[in-house]
Amino acid sequence: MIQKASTILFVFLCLFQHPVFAQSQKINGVVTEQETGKPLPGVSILLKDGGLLGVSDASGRFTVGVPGPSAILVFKYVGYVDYETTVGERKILQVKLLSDSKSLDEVVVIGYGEVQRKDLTGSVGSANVKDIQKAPVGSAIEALAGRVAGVQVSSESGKPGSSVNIVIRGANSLTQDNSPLYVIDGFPMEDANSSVLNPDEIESIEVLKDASATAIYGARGANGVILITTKKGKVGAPQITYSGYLGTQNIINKIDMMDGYEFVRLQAERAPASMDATYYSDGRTLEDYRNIDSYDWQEYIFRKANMQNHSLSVMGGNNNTKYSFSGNIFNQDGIIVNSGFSRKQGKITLDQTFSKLKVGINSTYTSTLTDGSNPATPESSFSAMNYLMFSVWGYRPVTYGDEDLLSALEDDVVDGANDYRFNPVLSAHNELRENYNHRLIVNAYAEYPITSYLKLRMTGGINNADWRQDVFNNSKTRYGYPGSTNKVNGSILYTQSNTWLNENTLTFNKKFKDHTLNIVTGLTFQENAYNRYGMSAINLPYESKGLTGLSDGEQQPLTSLRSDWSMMSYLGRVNYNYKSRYLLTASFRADGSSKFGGDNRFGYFPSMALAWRLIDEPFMKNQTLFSDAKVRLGYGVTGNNRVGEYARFSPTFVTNVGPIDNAYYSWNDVLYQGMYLGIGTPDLRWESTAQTNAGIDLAFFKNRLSLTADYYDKRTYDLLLYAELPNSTGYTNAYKNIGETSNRGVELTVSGDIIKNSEFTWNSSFNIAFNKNKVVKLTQNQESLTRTVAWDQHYREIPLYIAKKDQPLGQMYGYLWEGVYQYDDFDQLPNGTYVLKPTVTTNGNPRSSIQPGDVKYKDLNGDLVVDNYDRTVIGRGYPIHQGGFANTLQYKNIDMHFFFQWSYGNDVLNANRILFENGNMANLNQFASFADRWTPDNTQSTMPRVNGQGPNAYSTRVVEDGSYLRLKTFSIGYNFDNSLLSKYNIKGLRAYVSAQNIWTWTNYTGYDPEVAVFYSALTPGFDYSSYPRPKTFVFGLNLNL
Amino acid sequence: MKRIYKNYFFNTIKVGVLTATLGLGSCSDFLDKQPYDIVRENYYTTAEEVRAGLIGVYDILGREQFYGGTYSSFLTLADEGAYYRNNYTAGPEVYNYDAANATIVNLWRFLYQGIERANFFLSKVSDTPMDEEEKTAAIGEVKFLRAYYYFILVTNWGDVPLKTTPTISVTEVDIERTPQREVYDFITQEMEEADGMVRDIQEYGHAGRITKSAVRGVLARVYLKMAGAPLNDASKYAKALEWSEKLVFPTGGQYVHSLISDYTQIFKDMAADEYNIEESIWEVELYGNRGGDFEAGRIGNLGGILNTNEPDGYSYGFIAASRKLFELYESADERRNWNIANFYYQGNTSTNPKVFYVNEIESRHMAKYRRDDEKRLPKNKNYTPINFPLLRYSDVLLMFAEAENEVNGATTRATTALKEVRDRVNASDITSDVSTSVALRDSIRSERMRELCYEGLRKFDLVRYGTFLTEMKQTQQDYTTLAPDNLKYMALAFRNVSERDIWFPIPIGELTLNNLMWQNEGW
Repeated sequence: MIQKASTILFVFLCLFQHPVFAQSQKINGVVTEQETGKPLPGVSILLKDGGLLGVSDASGRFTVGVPGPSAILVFKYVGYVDYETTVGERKILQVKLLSDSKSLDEVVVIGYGEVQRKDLTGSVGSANVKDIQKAPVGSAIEALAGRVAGVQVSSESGKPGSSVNIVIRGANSLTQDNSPLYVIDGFPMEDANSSVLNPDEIESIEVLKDASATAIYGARGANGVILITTKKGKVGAPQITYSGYLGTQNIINKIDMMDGYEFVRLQAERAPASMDATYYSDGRTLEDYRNIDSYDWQEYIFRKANMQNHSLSVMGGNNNTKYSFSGNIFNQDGIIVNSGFSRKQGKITLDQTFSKLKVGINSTYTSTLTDGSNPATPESSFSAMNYLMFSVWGYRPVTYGDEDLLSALEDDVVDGANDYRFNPVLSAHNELRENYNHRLIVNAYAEYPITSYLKLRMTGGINNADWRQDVFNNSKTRYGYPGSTNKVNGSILYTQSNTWLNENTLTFNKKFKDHTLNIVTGLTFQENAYNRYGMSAINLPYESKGLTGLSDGEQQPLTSLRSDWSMMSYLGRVNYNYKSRYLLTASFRADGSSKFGGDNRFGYFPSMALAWRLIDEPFMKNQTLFSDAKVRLGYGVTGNNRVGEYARFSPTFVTNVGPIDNAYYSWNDVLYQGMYLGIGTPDLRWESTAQTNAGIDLAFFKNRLSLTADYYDKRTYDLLLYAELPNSTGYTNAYKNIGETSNRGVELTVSGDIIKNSEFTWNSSFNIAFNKNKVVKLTQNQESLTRTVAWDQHYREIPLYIAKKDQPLGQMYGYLWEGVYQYDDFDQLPNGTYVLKPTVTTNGNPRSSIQPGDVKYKDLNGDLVVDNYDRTVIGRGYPIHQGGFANTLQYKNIDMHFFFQWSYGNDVLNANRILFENGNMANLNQFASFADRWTPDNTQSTMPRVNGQGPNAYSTRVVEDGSYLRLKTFSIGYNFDNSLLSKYNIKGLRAYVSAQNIWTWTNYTGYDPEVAVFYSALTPGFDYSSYPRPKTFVFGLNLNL
Repeated sequence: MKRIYKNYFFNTIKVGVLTATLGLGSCSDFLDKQPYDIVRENYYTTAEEVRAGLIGVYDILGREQFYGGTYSSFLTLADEGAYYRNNYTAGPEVYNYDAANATIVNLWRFLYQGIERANFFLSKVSDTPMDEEEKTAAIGEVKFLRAYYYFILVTNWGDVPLKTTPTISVTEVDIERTPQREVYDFITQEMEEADGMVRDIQEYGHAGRITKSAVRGVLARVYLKMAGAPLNDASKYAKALEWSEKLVFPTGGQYVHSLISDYTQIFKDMAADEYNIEESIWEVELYGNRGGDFEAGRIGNLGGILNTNEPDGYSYGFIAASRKLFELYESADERRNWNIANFYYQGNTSTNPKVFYVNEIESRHMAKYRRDDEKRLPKNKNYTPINFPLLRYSDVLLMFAEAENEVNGATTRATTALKEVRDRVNASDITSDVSTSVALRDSIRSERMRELCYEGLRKFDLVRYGTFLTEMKQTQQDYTTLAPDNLKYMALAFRNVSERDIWFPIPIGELTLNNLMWQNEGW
């Protein structure tokens, strides 16, 4: 297929012709900004239906020659509305350009085409890229949070380069990926690693939300589509742009830990008999620890981290050739020692017109390095004690002897057999975790107008990515020290994913008097090959050789994996409007996927949308309140095929993948390879989402205030569910098309110019989204689906999340906490011991072992025993509403931007508190809050006593309100005067200070309420040992030459 | 010139459109992607593949979730071992857990995985062209193993789903619990069939395979279980006698088993990857030191003599021996100081001298499996190659004695078998004390504890005798009255245990996903 495309490309290249111009009339003029009167340099001046005539200079002045009085000049400048004027007899022109922040003529990119905003029939949210670029973050996607109504952005942590989860209009799938389809410069990709894209490179981000907009992406549109267009060369003089910043990041807040005094008091309470030999040796008492210096290990693990970003681009072009070259270097150290992210990116675009034929190429090469271990994803997640923060929080704040805790690998008083604490500082400094990613994206296109109304476009592209993950644990790390299981060890894992795409579209575009018709038809092919190879070895004898010494050690099972998929699609869309007043869009796409077989291979995805622009009706003529009024109604079906490539096959395996996935056995001490089984679902088919959308767009007071509101109702059926099977089948899970979910919601976006005069403008934009999701149907007869979170061996089988029929996804599940048992819950025996009254319920522990101060739970079924039957919904993982509030102010040369983001009504399960408000382990430091635990002298407390946690359980005790309001971005800049700059041939210079995550209002007691450890659609809002998000301050420059 | 190109161009377009319209048909190849793993339908074509299938069924035995770890070390302990870790207050080890417990869930999961592998094997193997004798033996082994997995299920959960064909649908998954009686009948029928198919133990010379000896001994065990609680079908004693007799009095050239002279050597051999098929009839084979495979187990590491010196063999020493077991031995009995360590390692390392216990009894470690005897170096911290005994000849002798006593009374044949077991370890001759059937029954029961402790049989025995709860509560009494204060916590498991603990709970996942499933009483 690629060959065919390239043959055609060659043919196109041969169709070559030179353009010719004649000039007879000279025009002088100046271009200024309408609001402020500032001169605009670099404005392109074109002849309508012709070529570029010139560009305005640093003071906005220009001189061009035109063919005659009937010539029409077009003034174009990024971020401003195009201005057209007929020259007539004029010799001098005063041109004022209007800033296009909410222009109805603004062009919106939709799949396989673009339309003017006023002609949109679907729900498409545009992100204000200029605002997003003001946030000092590594990825534009990260900055998208709160910017577009209905787009929920969450990230597991603040680790630089970590992935971001985006959910548009609520999760459809229960077990499968809910992230949207990314289409970057026309190339659809499901695995878009957002950190790969430099925010400065982005021209526009559009979020296709409703089915009428996404259905053109059919099978993969159900989760919404994010269309990202990167910058390309534009007609005009070469523009050289530098933008860069330098800054630092800091932890937002630390968690208060017990100091030495409280810690010793706790040890004395836990094990009084041991104190004389330890903390009270040499005649010391508790009071001696009152003012002693204590370690707070957070001080040693968190740092002030640097961050810098430099982007340089050159772009320009004439009527025939447009080009751009750009490069980016981004470096972000993490606020945890020995972690960070860096990116180097180079991009070239070239567009060439030969007579009628247009061809172009856009290629980006990115290389990133993400390093440092993630505290939330340890190599061994078997026990909660393997996570970094366990050691950071748990390490002792004081010693009783002359132990040097800072330089010793382990704390000698810790019983290594039962407690995996390890010097967190040494470990974090010595662990090598490096993920290298190289990605080459190349897209080429050829566009040929067969007639004036029929255009053929063929594109071909590749997206080749490879990753290398290096892991090395030397003898000073948790996993490699002499007492560890594997000793010095390391591994290398290579992954390669190569995708190619060919798309061929034919676009018909014609106006018949008042009727405008636009038809797109197309045929696309995409194919992916995925390979993964890895090796690892333990017991490496020569530590200093690092990973080059891998071959010296004991070889571990190799990883070797290969898979591929392909897709082929037919698409068609009709856009029709009558006088731009009555608009209709209908689209249809048929997708075939290699993941499905037989009759289920192809899925068919239709959509239809209608819009009515009331503002153009005669009855609206005589009013001045509304400057725009449009209603939209749409319906469509989209799909989702995100299952394993071979989920429909029942395989037999002989490979050795890990402790669970292998089937070796030995006879007579000789090892033999055995076979094990998987189960597939032969009749697997597409998951479908039907969505209805009703929307209204209003603008008031000459567009000074605008409002967009949408209501949607999404129903997803034939869910591709990685369903649990009863283990009596011999299997644990299989993919099934089963279940149904629904998401309904309202989105509102209001934006307007609060103040607008030549000196001062203040523009605000506010968006809010409400989403209500619901499980409609589950696996046959199943009333609820529970999920566990495997953060610790003792909790990995305890259900924490439940998806119940007719209730929302992501609900937390557990016991209702009722404080602690008090003395009056017990009978005191003559020998002084307390025995729980027979009428008082247990907490799940055997009745005889419950003591005053133990945690108490509500007995729901009244059987006086708290057990499985007493679990209920204890929290909601998804918010009731969320949104953002952005403000941009301009006063003379000063610009300011501040942006608030919030989430309301969601809970976070703070699992950290399960272990650090507990006190059951010797010498393990605890959160300062545990000082208020129940003791015989402090019976008013609801915090359970030492060893009073009861059985392992989740309860409302550790569910916290995760609502927050955050001043997410703040930026203030100064634009230097043109008069000053022109002396140095500088077109523009802006210096700014910008900050991220500046202030957060929340009741959450962990590091950050914006947390999603072990994230999946069913398990939102879990926090254990997360990487805290940093507070960032940077100083930067934007320079135009 | 231009013209020509244009024609070429439009022709190309036409070809493109033609391709597009025919696309649905001609491009089906483009959309056809086959997995790189082998698809089931293609099995089995060779003897090699059949062996891989057979290995896959055996694999379950050595799983860490089964005999390789938790089942042998924690779930089968009854009154002979206590959990030695004072801050550990929850889990099946101390009888404080619920139906969501991972250890229980995983045991259920892997047993049914083994059954599914066996069902698949049996459904596919018949047409494979290969040596018929080898095929017959393999089928016999698989049939036996499937029956054995059901035996573990039925003895621990009671009524369980009996599934004898592979799962084909992921939607029709509801399956009822089959009454125990039927499950036992299936087990004995399959095992008896396997007896005619598998090979003799001397053909292999090691105890890792299913052989006629293993089948017969385990059949005796199954019938004894059926004769005891909960079925209490006393007629099965005769069947137990019949099958154990085949091993005790072999005929027709069958292999002659015997006790080896040194009791301790049996377990040293298990650690050293050596065999003595005279006595050790069937073992779970665990292998290596985790050099990339995952076939080493936790035997000797979870339990064993506490030792944190890795080169010598790291052991967590989680299991302490009970006073009850200790006091059951005569002081001359060679088994006592092997099964229960009479020393500990000073500073917990064996490079430091052994220190012998004087009067402390409760703090002694279970020491049946010792890492000192491992030959495979370097020793892994957490995983050992130590095999786990599934059937020993001394067990067969005691089963024979028990069955003989129930069927024919305290005959000489019965008392001689008991004496044989005791003589080997220098225990006194008690023949004169066991002249009545009742006395012999009691003696055999306590002899089984002395001889077979920590071999995964104690809880099984107590449940079938119907004395599980009373024995457990007796042990609790021992701890609360006799143990020193700092070790009284070891009574925890015995205090927590209750009537419901005769059974494991049906895993919570099975209960919610299989609509025909119901929970055991008390869970």
